[in-house]
Amino acid sequence: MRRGQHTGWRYAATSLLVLGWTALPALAAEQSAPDPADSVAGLVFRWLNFALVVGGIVYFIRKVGAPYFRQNAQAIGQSIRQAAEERAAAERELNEASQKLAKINLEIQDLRRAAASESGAQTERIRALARTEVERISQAARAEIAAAERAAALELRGAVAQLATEHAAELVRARVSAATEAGLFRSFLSEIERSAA
Amino acid sequence: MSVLADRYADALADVAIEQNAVDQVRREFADFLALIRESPELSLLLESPAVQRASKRAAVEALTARMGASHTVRNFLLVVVDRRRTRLLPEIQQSFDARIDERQGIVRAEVSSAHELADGEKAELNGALDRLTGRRVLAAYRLDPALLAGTVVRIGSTIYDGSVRTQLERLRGQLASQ
Repeated sequence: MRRGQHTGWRYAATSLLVLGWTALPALAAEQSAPDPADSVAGLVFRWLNFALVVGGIVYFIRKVGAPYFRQNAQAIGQSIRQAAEERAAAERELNEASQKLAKINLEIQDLRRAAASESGAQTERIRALARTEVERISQAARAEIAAAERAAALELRGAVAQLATEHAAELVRARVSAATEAGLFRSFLSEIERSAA
Repeated sequence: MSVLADRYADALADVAIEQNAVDQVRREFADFLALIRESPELSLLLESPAVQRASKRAAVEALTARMGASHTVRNFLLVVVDRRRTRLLPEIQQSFDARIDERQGIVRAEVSSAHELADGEKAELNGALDRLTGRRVLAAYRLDPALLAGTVVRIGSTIYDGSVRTQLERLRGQLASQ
């Protein structure tokens, strides 16, 4: 497009230069008097010369300028259409971006809602787990305490029984007599006899 | 007890009963084993495979002669030496005693008491044990003050416990489990 414009200007400048050269003899002759060109024939020729120059110019303009301007107009039109298309595309993109932005806001709101909901559920799960764990630990502790109590009671009973039997053994040692021993033997003998029968 | 020891014990029991010399054989056999137990050198001499059979026989003959042992015991010991079964002698003795007891209808019992039993009590207990087992009981009596009072009889793997110690143990168990 820029190259086409330069070529047009070059043609126009060349045409003006040719016109100046052709008009110079007429101007030089105008200063000398009397000039035969002032006669009727000269006037006719001058008008004829003028018509030729004007015709040349018109011909040149129509030959060279019209395609140039037509091409230029086409280029401008093309540019305008292209600009319009680009503008439409930009507007579409803007609309899409606006829609996306609006959707993004909605999505962000959805995400925030989901996150809040998930956070609440997670918190509830953690609380439930904590409650379960506390209950489990409490049960284990209660069971352990009960077992320890039973073991302690059993140990205490064992110790008491041991002390009682040790004391009883000392009493037996101290107080058993020949008569007692004879009685025990008789009792044992009776048991053997009963087993034999 | 090994089957091999039982076979030797059976053979010796057969001969002893046949010759009506059970007690003598039992006593001489026990004396010879006591000698072996008391003398590690004699035990080594009889059991070592490095010692020739003739030397072992000579040693057995010399010892039985010195003990005044019967021909039955001497010959039996020589057979054991010839067959290189000296190591089995303790087992053979146990098996022999058990077989003799069995053939004679004897049951051995171990009686423990906290105090010495009178002869009459021992006789009563022997009679009761005879009736209990249906065989003649030979009881070995011993004192055991740990029983506190009462008597315990063991016949084989059966125990008849009339001791105060055991009754107190039962009482302790009942008190502890209540």
